[in-house]
Amino acid sequence: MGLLAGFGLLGLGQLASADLWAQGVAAGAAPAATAASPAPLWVVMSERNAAQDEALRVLRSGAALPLQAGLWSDWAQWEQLASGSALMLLGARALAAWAQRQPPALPAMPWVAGLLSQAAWAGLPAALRGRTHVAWLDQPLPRVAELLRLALPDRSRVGVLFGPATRAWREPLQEALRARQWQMQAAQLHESDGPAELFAALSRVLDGSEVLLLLPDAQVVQPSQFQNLLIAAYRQRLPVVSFSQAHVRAGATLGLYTTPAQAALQMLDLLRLAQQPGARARQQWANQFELDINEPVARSLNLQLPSVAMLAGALLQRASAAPEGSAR
Amino acid sequence: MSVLVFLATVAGATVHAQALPGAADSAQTPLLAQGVQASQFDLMAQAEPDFFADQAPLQVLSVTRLAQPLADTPGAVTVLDRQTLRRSGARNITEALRLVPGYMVAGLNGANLVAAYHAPVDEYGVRSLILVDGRSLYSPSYFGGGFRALNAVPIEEVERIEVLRGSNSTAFGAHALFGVINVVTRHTLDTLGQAVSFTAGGGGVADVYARIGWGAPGLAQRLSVNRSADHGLRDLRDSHERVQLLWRADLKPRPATELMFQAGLSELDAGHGFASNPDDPQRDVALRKSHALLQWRHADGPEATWQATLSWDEERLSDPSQTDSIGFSFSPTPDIADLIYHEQRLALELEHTRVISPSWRWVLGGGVRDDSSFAPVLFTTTERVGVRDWRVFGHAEWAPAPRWLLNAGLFAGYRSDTGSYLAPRLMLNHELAPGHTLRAGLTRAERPPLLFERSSDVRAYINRTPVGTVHRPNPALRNEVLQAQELGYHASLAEGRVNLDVRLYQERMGDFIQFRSGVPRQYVNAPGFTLRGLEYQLIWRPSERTELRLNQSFNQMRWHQAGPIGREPPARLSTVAWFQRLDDGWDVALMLHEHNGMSWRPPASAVGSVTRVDARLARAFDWGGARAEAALVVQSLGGDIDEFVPNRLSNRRVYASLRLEF
Repeated sequence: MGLLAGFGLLGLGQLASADLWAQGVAAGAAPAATAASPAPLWVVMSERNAAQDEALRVLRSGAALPLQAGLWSDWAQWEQLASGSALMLLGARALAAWAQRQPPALPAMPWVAGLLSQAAWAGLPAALRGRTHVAWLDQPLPRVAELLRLALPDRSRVGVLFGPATRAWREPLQEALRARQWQMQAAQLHESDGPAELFAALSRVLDGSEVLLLLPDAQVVQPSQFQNLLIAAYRQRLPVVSFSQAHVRAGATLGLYTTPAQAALQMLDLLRLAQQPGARARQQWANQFELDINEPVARSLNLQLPSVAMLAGALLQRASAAPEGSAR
Repeated sequence: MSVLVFLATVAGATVHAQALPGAADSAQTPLLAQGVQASQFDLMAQAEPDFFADQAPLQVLSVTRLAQPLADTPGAVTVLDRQTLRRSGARNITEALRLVPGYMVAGLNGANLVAAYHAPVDEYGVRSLILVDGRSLYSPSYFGGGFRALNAVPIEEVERIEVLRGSNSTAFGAHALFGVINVVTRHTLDTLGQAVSFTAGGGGVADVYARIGWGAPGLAQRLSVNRSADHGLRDLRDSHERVQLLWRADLKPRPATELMFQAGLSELDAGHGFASNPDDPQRDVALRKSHALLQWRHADGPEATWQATLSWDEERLSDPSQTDSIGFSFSPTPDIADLIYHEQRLALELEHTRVISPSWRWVLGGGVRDDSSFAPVLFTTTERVGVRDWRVFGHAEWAPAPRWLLNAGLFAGYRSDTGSYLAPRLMLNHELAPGHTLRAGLTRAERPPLLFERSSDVRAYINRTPVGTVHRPNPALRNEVLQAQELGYHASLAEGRVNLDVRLYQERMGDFIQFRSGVPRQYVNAPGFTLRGLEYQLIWRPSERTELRLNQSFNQMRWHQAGPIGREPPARLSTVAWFQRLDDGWDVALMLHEHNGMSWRPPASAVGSVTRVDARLARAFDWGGARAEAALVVQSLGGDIDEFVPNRLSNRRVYASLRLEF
C-alpha cells in the first residue's frame, strides 16, 4: 500500500517538481556567479504539500537572491546546477537525504534547515548537526509553560505524556513549569508502546491534572489514537493544549504553533546570520508563533479564556527572545 | 488522516529510491549503505509528528459531543467532579450532596441516608430522579429506595455528578419533581490498572474497594469489588454491610460507534427498626440486587447522534417477619413471609440529538419501561403486579437572536395503571453581557404514584387467618403535580475564578401523595404546598490552590391544608466549604453546614438549629511506584447533632483511608 502510494505521489511529485525547476534558474544556462547575477539560493524540499509550498513562497518573496527550488530526490537536476549561494532545506527528509548524497561544491555554502521538529533533528548524525543552522518548528518550553500560566491562571497542574522523541524535554519542561509555580504529572512512553500503554499512561497522568499538554511526539500523538486521546481528556473535562492548529480544529482547546510562513521567515533570518563571516551553526526554537482557541470547546468547559490577541500579546512580552537551543 | 498519507509518501519514496536501478547507480554511495540510511529515514519520518495537517482534520469534539456550558443550561446546575467528591471525604454519594445548595441530607437511620431538595417530604427519595449512566434508580414496589441504590455506587467510580436543581421532568421523566441527580461513572479507559482503597475508623467503618482495569481503546474493561460497612448511629440497630461486584466494558467497534456494558451484583444487610416501636421492631433486612445495562451511541455525522439504552434491574428485599406467640404475620404463607418484594425492571430508551444549525438543536426520544413485582405481602396476590410505562420526550433549543436561547420541551408518558402524565418546560436564557446570563422559566412536572402508593394491599394474619387490612390500596390516587416558576442568574467573573448561580423560585405542589396513618393506612392526595425561595451557589478560586464554595438556600413553605403538619425546610440552609492544596501533596478540606430549625416529620419532631463541620486532611505520595493517598476524615467535628428527629443523633465519626493506584 505504502509502495503504491509512494509511486503515485512521487509521480505527481515529479510533475509538480518540474514546474518548480521551471520557476528557478534554467538548468541549461548556469553560468558561474558574477557580480551581475548572484548565485541563487537553493531550496530543497521534502515533498510537495501545502506547508512546504507556503514556506517556499515566503522564501521566494523574502530572499533578496533568486531562488532555485526542487525536491530532494531530483538529483539529476541538482547536479546540473553550478554552486548556489546558500542551501535551504525544508523538512527533515530533505536534510537527511541531502546530507547522505552530498552533491559536489556544497561545503562552501551555508546550510539552513527548517520545517522540522527537534525530535527529527536529534536523530541526525552529529557531524551534520554541527554544520547546519536550523530553525525547529517546536515551541521553546518556557513559552509553552508561560502560555499555560496566562491562559489558565486558576490552574497549576498539567499532565504531560513524553515519548521517545521528547524524553529529553522532561527536565527542562519541569523547570520551566516550576518557575511558574506549576506542577507536572508525567509519564514516559517507549518505542514499543501501543495504544493500551498509551491509555494506561494517560489515565495515570490525567488523574489530578487540570490540563493536558500534548507535545510533538508521534508516539504520544499517534494518528490512529488522537481522536480517543481528545475524547478521554474531554470526558474528564480537561482542556487540551497542543502544538498544531489542526488539533485545535479537531477539539483541542488551545494550540500554540508556528506556521510554515513564520518558519520560512525565521530561516531567512538565520540565513542572514549564517552569511556573516565566522558564523557558527545556530539552532533555534521557533521564534514566531500563532495561537488558536477552539471557542465551542472552551465554552463547553466553562473556561473564560483571554482572547487570542491578548494571550499572544502577553506571551510576546514575557517570552519574546528567540532562544538558542542545544540539541541535547 | 493526513499523517498517514505523509508516512506513506515517505515510505513509498524510500522504496522507490531503492527500486529504480538508474537512481541507485548514479548515487555516490553504494546501494547497501543507501538501504541502511533509508530505514533510518523511515524511523525519523515516523518520529516526525504532524505539525501541519494537509487535509481538513476530523472534528472529534463535535457539537453533539460537547456538554452544554453552564450559562446555557435551562436551569440551575451544580457539578461535583471527581476531585471535589474525593476531597469532601464522603463515603457515599448522598453524603456528598451536602455540597449542593438546597439539599438537606439526613436519614431515618444510619443505613438510610437520603437527600431532599427544598421540601423535606421525602424520606425515601421518591421525588428526585436518580440516574446512573442513564439508568434510573428507584424501586416501585415499596418506598422508592433511590438513595439506597445511589449509596451503593462506589464513589471511586464516579467521574462526575450533575445535579439539576429544580424540576426537570421534561428531559428525564417522572420522579424528577425536585431535580435530577445524574451520576456519570468513569469510563474504563480512564481506570486502566489496579487500584485498592481501605477506609476504617470509628462507628464500625470498614470499607474496602478494589478494581482492575485493562484494555485499549477498542475494548476496555473494569472489574471491581467493594464492601462498605458501618455501625450506623450509636443508639440504633442500623448497622449495614454491603458487598458488591461491578463490571463495565466500553467498546468502540468503529470511530463513530460506542458501546457500553455494565453488570453488577450486590447484597446489603442492614439493621432496621426501633426498640420503642412495636410496629417497626428491630431486625435485619437483606436486599439483593443485580443489574445489567447496555448503551449504544452512534454519531451520525458531527451534527447528529443516536443513543439507545437497555437496562435490567432485579431487586429482592427480605425482612424477617416478627411472628410472635399468637402467630401474627403479614403473610399468609410463612415460607415466603420474609420476602417483601422481588421486582424486575426492563427499560428501553432511544434518543436522537440533532443540530440543525448553530442556533437550532433538538432532541427527541422515547422508550418503554416495564416494572413487575412479586410481593404477596405488599399486594396480597401471588400474581406479579406490574406496570408498563411508555414515554416520548423532546426538547428544542433555539437561539432566535445572538445572546438569546430558548429551551422548550415536553415529556409525555402513559402508564398502564394510571394513564397519562405530562411535563412541559419553557426556559429562556439571555446573556446580558459576556459572562452574565439571566434565566426565566416555567415548568410543570407530574408524578404518577408508585406501585406501592397506589396498589399496596397489606393484610395481617393470625395463624394464617386474615384479621384485617393494614394498608389499603387507592386506585383513585391522582398524579402529583408540581408547577414551578423560576428566575435565575449565572455569572462567570474574574477570568472564570468566580462562578455564581442564583435561583429565585416558586414551586407549587398539588395533589401531594401523602401517607395517611390510621387503620388501615392508605396513600391519599392531599392539597399540597407552595414553596418559595432563593438559593445561590458561589464558587471562588482565589488562587490555583484554593477553592471556596458558598451555598445558601432560603425557603418558605406553606402547606395548603390546615393544622400543623411539620415537614418544613429550614428558613436558611448554608454550606461553606474550603478546599486548599498545600505543598508536598497535602490537601485540606473544611466543610461547614448549618441550618436553622426544620422538621422532617410532624412539628413535635422538629429539630432546632444545626451546625455541622466536616474536615479532611490528606496527603498524596508515591509508594513503591504506586500513587497513594492517605486521608483522615472527621464528620461532625463538633460532636453529636440532631439532623433528622430529636434524640436520633448523628454521631461524630472519625475514619482514615488509604488509596493506592498502580
